[in-house]
Amino acid sequence: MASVTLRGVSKSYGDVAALEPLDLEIKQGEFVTLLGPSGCGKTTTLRLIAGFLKPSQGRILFGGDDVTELPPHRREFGMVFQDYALFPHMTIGENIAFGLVERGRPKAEIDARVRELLQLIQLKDVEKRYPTELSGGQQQRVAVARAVAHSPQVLLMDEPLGALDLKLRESMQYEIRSIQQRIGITTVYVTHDQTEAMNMSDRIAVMNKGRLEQIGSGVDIYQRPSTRFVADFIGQINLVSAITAGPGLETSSVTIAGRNARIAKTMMPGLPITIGIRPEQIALRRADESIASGDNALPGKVASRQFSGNVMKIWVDVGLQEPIMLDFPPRAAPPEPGDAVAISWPVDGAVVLPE
Amino acid sequence: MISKSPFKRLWWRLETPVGQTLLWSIVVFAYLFLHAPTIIVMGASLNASSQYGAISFPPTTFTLARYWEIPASQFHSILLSLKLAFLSATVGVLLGVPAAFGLVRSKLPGKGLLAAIFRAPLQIPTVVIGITFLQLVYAVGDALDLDLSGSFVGLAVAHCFVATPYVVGAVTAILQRFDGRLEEAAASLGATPLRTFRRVTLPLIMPGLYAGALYAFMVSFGDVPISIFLSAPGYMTYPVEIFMGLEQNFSPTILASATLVILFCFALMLFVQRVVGLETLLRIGGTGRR
Repeated sequence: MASVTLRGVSKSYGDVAALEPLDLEIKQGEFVTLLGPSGCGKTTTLRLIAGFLKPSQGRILFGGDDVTELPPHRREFGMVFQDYALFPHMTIGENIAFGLVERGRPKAEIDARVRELLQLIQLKDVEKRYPTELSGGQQQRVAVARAVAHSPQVLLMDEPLGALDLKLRESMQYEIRSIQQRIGITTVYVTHDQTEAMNMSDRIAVMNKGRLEQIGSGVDIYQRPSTRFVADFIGQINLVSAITAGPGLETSSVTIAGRNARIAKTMMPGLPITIGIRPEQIALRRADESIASGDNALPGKVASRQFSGNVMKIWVDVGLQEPIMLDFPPRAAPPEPGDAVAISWPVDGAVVLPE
Repeated sequence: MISKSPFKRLWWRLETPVGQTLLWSIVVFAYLFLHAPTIIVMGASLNASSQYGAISFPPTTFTLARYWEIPASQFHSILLSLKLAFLSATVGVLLGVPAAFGLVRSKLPGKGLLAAIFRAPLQIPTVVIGITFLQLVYAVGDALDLDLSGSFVGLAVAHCFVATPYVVGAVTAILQRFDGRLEEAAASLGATPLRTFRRVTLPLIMPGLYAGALYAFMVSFGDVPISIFLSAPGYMTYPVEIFMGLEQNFSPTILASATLVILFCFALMLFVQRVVGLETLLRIGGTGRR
């Protein structure tokens, strides 16, 4: 196993930059997900690591070794493709053995390893079958087994669950993660699905328009997004424009829709900022009820509501351009549209984003 | 089974006695239509009363005598035709496969024009090709002071010329549907480009290669219009030999040798289908990728 290091790696086609210079360090045994919308550069990054693309600039290192100039077949990695790319003319056993055969290992060792992997992916009886005879989920597991059979240093996965339905996707997330942890392989995983990223990763690298926006644990990027894009892309959030009014000791006061509120950050007065507040951070009271002291509060009117199973989503018009969305616990009696209400959130329950 | 068919109602009707009779008559008629010529040739070859200048069918008295009477010249021409056909298929594969890769995978500007040029032999009437090659053979013969007319070289070049586009076409078609990520997967598993070609690309384009080679073989083997210009006594392909034979004096031995050729071709088709065709085609067809 080895770490993967990208130093100032970029890729451009003519004048079009597919990937702006990127520094990324993936530690030994770590599971890092590249997350972003299509065209954000995540697949380009993965294909650069694999060697299917040559970087325009920068170096790529596996462990301490510079592999920038090496063709794919001389880099020690395994890859799981979207739609699996299993060899249709080979049996499952031959598919899994491919990497070992290419390395000229003795037949007895290959057979033992194939059986061991079939056990690992819990598909003991399919060795003599062909890929088309397997279900999507089974093919997926075979693809993982094939990618790790030759004990590579690095495992790359390109949206491997994209073709599966929701239920299967969830159980496969768990399965892939547990296989990865059992063999402790350094893994780079590409997806556009934030839930998948949250469920599986040690760290998530959020990318947008060929740039790395933020890298951190799921908790980090959810609770402390560092850019507006990250805040908006991960989960749901209310983005509120505000003007800083005056610094305090550990907080600053700001003006939102003509009313005072406080943020958990010291800032110079007079700056336009964006505050992000997650729906679950916001509490709702009737206009005549009192608010927990110290929390920020804004009066408003219920604009609309929508029942979505575990919560009731309520939109409250507080005089901003967009209504504020919040999660209302389903056990309480929800207010009707038009009711006068007040929303509140704890001072440290909001994040300040650079404009 | 039947209830699952989209033709449920039709099947229901076809299951009645009248429907069954109708269905079977159509099937029998279709097969007769397709195979009557072959059956008549084979039957007449066994008929003792088939005489010079007349085909007699159905056979009244059976004999294998015609087979013993086949003159050596017919065997020679069959051998020549087989040689030419195998050569055309082989050369077609050797030239056509790389050409198909170039047409599909290279980033050459003007690929469309190249593809059109590769298709050209299919669009030129074969008689014209025959005349062209006759002129070519004369011209080259004059320049090199050799007599190439009625030689194996002349026939071989012309046959390869018409046969190769079939291989290009068949392999191009299968390469265009080829999932490039299979090659990336092989590379990711440590296979060199050459090994990837050997273990992944080649086996997967095999159906196209066999189909193309088979077409090339048949086109060469059955050709009259080109070969007739390039043949000479002693270098006559089998179809030309028959053609000439029919024009001059029809001998029932032609029926006998034709039957042998039919049986040989039938065996060849069976072999190709058994060994490579169906199995490979079915398995690869199953992946159904873009």
